[in-house]
Amino acid sequence: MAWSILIVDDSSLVRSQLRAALEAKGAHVVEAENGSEGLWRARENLVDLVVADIHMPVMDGIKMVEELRKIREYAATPIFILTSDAASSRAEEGKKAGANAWILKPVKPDLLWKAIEKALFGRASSLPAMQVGAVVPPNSGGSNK
Amino acid sequence: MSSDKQVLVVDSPNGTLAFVMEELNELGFRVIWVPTLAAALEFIEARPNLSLIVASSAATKIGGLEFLARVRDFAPGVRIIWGAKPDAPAADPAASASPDSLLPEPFREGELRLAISELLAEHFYPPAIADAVKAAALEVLGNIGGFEVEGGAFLVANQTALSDLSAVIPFAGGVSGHLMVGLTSQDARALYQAFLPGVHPIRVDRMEDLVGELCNQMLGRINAFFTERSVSIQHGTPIFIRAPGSTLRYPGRQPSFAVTLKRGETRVALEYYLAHFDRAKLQAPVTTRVLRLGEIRYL
Repeated sequence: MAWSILIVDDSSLVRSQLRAALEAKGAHVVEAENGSEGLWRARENLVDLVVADIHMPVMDGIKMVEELRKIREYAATPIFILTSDAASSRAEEGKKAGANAWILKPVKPDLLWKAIEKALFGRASSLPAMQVGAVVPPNSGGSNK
Repeated sequence: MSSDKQVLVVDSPNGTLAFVMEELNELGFRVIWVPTLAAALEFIEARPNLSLIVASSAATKIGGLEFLARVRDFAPGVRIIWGAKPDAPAADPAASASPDSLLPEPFREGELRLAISELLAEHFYPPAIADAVKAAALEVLGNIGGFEVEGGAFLVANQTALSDLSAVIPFAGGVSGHLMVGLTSQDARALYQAFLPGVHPIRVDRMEDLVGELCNQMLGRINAFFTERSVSIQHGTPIFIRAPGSTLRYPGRQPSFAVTLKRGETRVALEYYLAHFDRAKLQAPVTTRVLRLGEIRYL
């Protein structure tokens, strides 16, 4: 199943780490550097799940989740907050904004993937069929970028 | 400044501890110099609320053991650094009147500086906070493993040397201050390859990003220590500094707490600066649950 996942984080290291881990599982990854770009990317590419940081320039993750939930297509899309902020009160803010899970950095890629599978279990990919075909086969010589 | 931030230096008039006095002053201590043990005892009996005594053998030739025993009676909490000439008889570390640190003389600046800052660190950074800072750094770097704290953790006066790549995140709220993480370009490159193998070449902005992310994650773990004690903290994104060889001066007189982590030849330098915090909160029981590393909470 080639799910499409949007990663929103101002750290290129985190984005690259997550991209490598998620693409290894066959996912299609879209990246954004801040909440504002995340919104734009989400509108441009209908994704199955969003993983977003909190502390970002331009627009933070909480605000982005609030705005994302106002978009009809993202009313029920799983949104994970991946952050270094361990405070329960902040997690409550995330819940209020519409996030589904709060994950503490640094997360082990396998643990994150299990959570993604759990959230998307039984859901079809939102990727068009041709794009899915280009993503799935490993070592096929094709590219998804 | 609390009244116990005082240091007594016992040194002969032509002694070598002038640099120590200057640095202790920079760290925010009131420094009192006396030339003999007798004068030192007189001072301690009148004002026993001292943090530290640094005594050079030049001023302690006679009556050292008796002096130590009297100090322990009058001021049991005071820490003592004792200078010893190479030909002096070895002190028994188990003896009740032994100093906290016995250093060979002539004093080597680095050795003395480290001993002083280790003994005084708890005046600014109680052991619980010091442990939280070290644990946070080790937890975050634990993903790639093999890191350990190099030497002791020590105090740095409000002026610090910068690495090739540094990231600073200020924080405010129930406590305020900043965390700075610094790496040399070479170490940043090695660490980046450990975190994300196979990327070549590694641009400087990518390495800087790594330093910023380490700073962000470590601060998150340190903040969790305060959050558990119901202290709320707000912080933003990292500020990056590329200024090798330069120094950064902080406002205020509170020193920062420095820790270096080492893995092979790679070193990560941390400087944690607390401008203020409520010590009473450290005694309070842990009331707020925080997320553990890698924990997923479904909302």
